[in-house]
Parts: sequence; C-alpha cells; structure tokens
Amino acid sequence: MSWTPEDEERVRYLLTVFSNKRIDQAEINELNEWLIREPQARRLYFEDTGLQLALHDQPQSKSISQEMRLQEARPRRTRSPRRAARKKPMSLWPLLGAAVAAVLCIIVYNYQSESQPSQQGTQYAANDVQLAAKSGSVWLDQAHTRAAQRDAWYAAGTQWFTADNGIAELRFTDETRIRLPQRSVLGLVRTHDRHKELHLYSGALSADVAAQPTGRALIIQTRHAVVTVVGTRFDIQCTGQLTQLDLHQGRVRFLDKTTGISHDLEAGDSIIARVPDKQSTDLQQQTEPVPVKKNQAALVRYAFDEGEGTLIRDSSKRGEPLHLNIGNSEAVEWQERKGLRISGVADIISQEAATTLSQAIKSSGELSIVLKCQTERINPLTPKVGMDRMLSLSKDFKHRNFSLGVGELTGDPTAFALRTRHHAGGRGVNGMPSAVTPPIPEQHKQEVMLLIVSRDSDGRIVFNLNGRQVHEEVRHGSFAEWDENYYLALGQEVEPSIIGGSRRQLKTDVAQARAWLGTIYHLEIYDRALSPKECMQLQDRLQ
Amino acid sequence: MSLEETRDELLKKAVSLRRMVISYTYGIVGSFELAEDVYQECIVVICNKADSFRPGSNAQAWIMEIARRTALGMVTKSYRKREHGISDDALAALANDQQAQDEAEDLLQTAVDQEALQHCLDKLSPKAQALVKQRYLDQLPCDEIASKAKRSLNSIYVTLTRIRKSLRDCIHKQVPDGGFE
Repeated sequence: MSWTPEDEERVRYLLTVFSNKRIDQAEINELNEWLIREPQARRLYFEDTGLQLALHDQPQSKSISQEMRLQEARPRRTRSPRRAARKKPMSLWPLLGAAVAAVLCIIVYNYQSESQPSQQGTQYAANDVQLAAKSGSVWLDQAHTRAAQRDAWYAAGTQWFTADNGIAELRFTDETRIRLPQRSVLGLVRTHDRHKELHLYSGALSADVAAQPTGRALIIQTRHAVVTVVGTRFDIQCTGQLTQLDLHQGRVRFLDKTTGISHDLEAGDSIIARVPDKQSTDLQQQTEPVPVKKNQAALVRYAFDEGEGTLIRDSSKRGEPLHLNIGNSEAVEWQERKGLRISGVADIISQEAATTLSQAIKSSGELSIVLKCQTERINPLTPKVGMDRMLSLSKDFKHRNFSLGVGELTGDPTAFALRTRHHAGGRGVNGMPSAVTPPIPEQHKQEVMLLIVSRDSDGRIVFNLNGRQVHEEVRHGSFAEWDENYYLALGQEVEPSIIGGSRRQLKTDVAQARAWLGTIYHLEIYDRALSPKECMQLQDRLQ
Repeated sequence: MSLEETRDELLKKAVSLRRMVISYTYGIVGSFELAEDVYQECIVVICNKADSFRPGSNAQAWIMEIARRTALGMVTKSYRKREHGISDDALAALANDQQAQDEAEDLLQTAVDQEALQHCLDKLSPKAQALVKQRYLDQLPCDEIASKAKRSLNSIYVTLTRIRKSLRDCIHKQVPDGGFE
C-alpha cells in the first residue's frame, strides 16, 4: 500500500480531532487502523504529536511571547481545579510506591511545597523567580529528575540546569529577566536581605535587569568574576577557562577574581576574566618549536601554494597523500603567492574516500583542525539554521563525520560551528547540534585568521582563534560510528554526484546555499587534540 | 557495567527520549500535562527498576514499556475511563517502531534546537499565529475557538491541520533533501 499526501492529510486531521478529545468511534478506529498498518502513519504520529508538544512548550515566537508578557502583567492565572486534581496522584506516591520510590517522592513533594509558593494570595519575595518561559528540558537538579514547570514560582536556593535542547527565561517580581541558553547551570543563592544573587557555574546567561533598590544590587558570580549590577542589560558567558561579559546598556562593576582588580564598565564594553595560563606564560619565553613525532604529525596538510591547476596536494608525511581535486575551476582563483579564493560552488573534494583520515580519528577519539583563512562574506543564500561549510568529511548534506562552518544561527562571520558525529544516546548521523562559538567581537570580520578547533577524547571541544581560546564546550560520546567511506570536501558539503569527477546534476541550489566564500591559506587535520602550547607554536609558524 | 552506570545510561537515554515518551503517552492519557507527569514518574521508575534492566537489551523499548505501563496506571488511578483512545494494538505498533521515533525525533530536535520552529512560526500569517496561540498556548478547545470565531468546528480542525502541515514543511525545507543541516 502506498502512502499518499491525501493519506498524510487524513491522518493529520484525525490527530487534530483526537487532540480535541472529540474523536468519534469511527474516526478512532480509522486512526488505530492507520497506526497498526502503516509505518508512515506512525512516523507522522510521533512527528505531529511532537510538533504539537513543541508548540505547547514554545515560548520563542516574538508575537507569542509578547502576548505571554501581556498576560503576565495581569493577575496570574491559577491552576484550574480540574488540573489541580490531576496533579494529586503525584503527591500520593509515597503511599503507593516502594520504599525507595517513597523517599524520592517525598523529596519531590517537599520540594514542591517549599519551592512553589501557593498560586493565590502569596506575596513573592524579591529573590523568588518564576519560570516565565521555557523550551526543551529545564531541570532543577543535576540528576535530571525534577523538571521545572513553566509559570511556577521558585524560591531562592534552587539550581537550574538547561539540557542540550533547553532554554529557560526566569523572571523576578520586579521584571528583571534572566535568560539561560542550552547547557547552562545557574544557582539562585538564598540571601537574608533578599537581594538577588546568582552563581553562573557554566554556560551563559543574558540579563535584562530592572533598576535595583539602593544597597541591594543584583550580584552575579562566576568562578572568575563578580558582577555587581544596579540595572542594565548584558550577556555573560562562563567556560572552564574564562568569563566574558558584554554590556549592552547601563553600567556594571566587574571584579576580576583572578587579578583582584575591579572595572567599571559602560554600555558597549566587553571584558574577559580568565584563569592565568601558566603554560602560555612559559611559552612566551620558549618559542623554539618542539620536535613532533611522526605519528603525531598532521594526517593531511594543504599549503595552497600550487598557484595554478585543479589539484591541491597533500604534503603531510603520514601514509598515502590525500590530494584534493577542484571540480569547478571557474569558482576558484589561485592567489599570487599562496592561497585559494573560493567564490562559489567549487566542488573541491578528495580524490578518494578519506579512509585513513577517518580511521585514525575514529581510533583516537580526538580531532584537531588547523585552518588559516579569510571569510569574505557570509553566503546570503544560507538559511538561518545552516552554516557556510568551510570543511567537511561527509557523504552528503545529512551524513557526516564532521563539518566545520561559520555563521550558524547568527550569520556572523566570526561565529564558528563544529558538527561531529558521535555516539551518545542514539543521536543521529548529522552531527547536530553543533558546538557553536558566539561571535568574536574583537575579531575583524574580514581579517585573515588562524582557527584551531580541537576535540579531546573526553569530548572537550576548544576553539582557538589567533592564539587565544575563545570558546569551550563538552560533547560526550565517541567517534565509534564514524563511516570510513566519507570524502573530504572544502568550501562545501560532499555531494554524491560529484564523487569520482562526474558532473554535478542535482542539488546545485542546496550546495550554493551553503558554500563558504573566502580564501584558504593553510589546512591541517590531526587525530589528536592539540595542546595550548602547540596552538601557540602553530600561531607563530603560520601567521 | 555497574548498577550505577546502567542507571546513568538509562536516565540519559530517557532524557534523550523525552519528546517521544510524552508523544507516545499522550495517546493514552490525552493531555500533554498528564503526559509530562507520566514522563517524570517514568524517570523515578527507571531509577528504581534499573536493576531489572538486562544490559545489552533494547533500552528504548524498555523505557517505552515503562512509559506505557505508567500511563495506563495513571489512567486507572484517576478512575478515568479510556474512551476513544489509541488501541492496545496501535500502542504496541507505535512502541515497537523505533525507526518512526528516531526519524520524528531527528526532525523535532533539529527544529526546536535550531529555532527553526520559531522561524517558521514567524512566517505564519497573523491569523494563523493567533489560532496557534489560542489552541496551543492558551489551550482553548477547538469548539471554543470555533464559537468565538463564529466558524464551524470542522473548519477549525482543517485550518489547524493545514497550519501544522505548513510548519512541518517549512521546518523540513530548511533542512535539504529531507535530511538535516
């Protein structure tokens, strides 16, 4: 039996009626029949119900969130008696469950009693927060057993964890709002005078702070800095190595814990506090390169000094070279001394599958990419959710071992993204979601830059730009599922139709819409994570 | 693998399956709030029952079975009769179809994580946005929406069906070749 668009429309319609709880016997029988017989109907069930769930949870649309804020200005909607009744079984668990379950449930129950003041007639304290909006999973504990509920109020003393897909917006009674993006951990400190104090343990936050009462400034601490805020708007990002603050409006005092120095910042200022890097201090005095063992050398190295032709030679000394072919020479231009300018879909792809490269990285679980390049401009055809592809080890647009790109979500040519396929929790074959750097404000957009991205076997991904670490995040999982038959492509994703030199006939628009536009001067790929010391040495050698 | 490690792995898997568990149990309990409660209860059950999981067996199927039992238990406890619900055979077919779950999860995860959904919502007409808000944010029943708008119930069903179809297509369009960026 074939699955037609009419069938799809019918099943989706039945799901709409089902969700309205007005489905009649004939319709439910029909829906059940579809679900039992037709795999596409089952895919549609999960997809459409999941989409309804996402819409139900979706706080992001501007028009919708504006509406939500209007609602919040009015008295809060209280939970209907019917919904409240539905919640009751949860608080009865301790009577029904086994001993361990009882303990866990008592914790949940106590937690709810303590940290969710009643919805009616309660005056919230100045440092209580409401989860005003959320998307994806937001948890109140590290074990991810207590999900935060949208619209509920929580007392100071709670900790907030956003998952890989989680975004939370917290609102204080004075309309101060804190937005936590994915993979962030924030603690709300219980203080006696009820001033607002937050600890950002990792990740990032954006704050829009209402004017605070005299003597009760809002304080945000990270491991590297203390930020004292009277009323303003800013973003903070905290990684293992540094805390960066970008101030958009107003004034704040920033105490760098690593130096003990305070800075008064004004709108437009950015500042970074970082852990003193002994290694990099030592390095400044020691610039002699350390000899590299043969098995630690780059797996592939392209110097782009050919000056003409359609072959880019791999000059690495590890095994058989992996040369690249330029399929469309009209989209490239060799530079006078060194470098290759790419101005469109150039079809630059390895002459054969990059099996040795994939095997080596798969086996070590580590990867480093060294890329000296200059992004000319962001490709205007690339969709917002996409990125311009600088480099990719892939089979096509949806199957990859890794892709490195620029401009994902932000459209900014100084925001880089790495997608690595890794085995963790049954994730897909496309390497999503990417590890993405924020735009680097001090990097001039059209300058030549040396980007080194490394990922170690613990999943720590570090972006180093012009000798300075600009971003770090952790993506657990191994490369065990990497496919060894993928090709290496430059400036675009691999398309099956260009493998083996045949002309591209399909998906030209897709390729054009993701092509990276700029000049490449040097590229190396390693099967290990380069140390900060090696990054400094590469910086010296290649700049 | 120690019990601790097994429990951690199962919890990680359950977290990655959140949307699918909620979508699945929604077919039993009939509301997303209850389905979210079921999911949270499942997490507790997984913590308690991790020792009964046989390492190497199918964790996704095991979690879906816990979700099914928990959801059915919740319906029974609340003394609600499951009328016009998804049948047991259809539930079994859904629980066993991991490919359908994985494909849907891939689309939804990419859509939500990359804010494609927001982008697509912004592209809807103001009328369609208002309808989405009434139905999914304010959670008004379709009958009430129809009565306020002086439209037939069926026309609201058809419009909502088309809106979701267009959102799905818009999300899909941003990820070429039916795949993902």
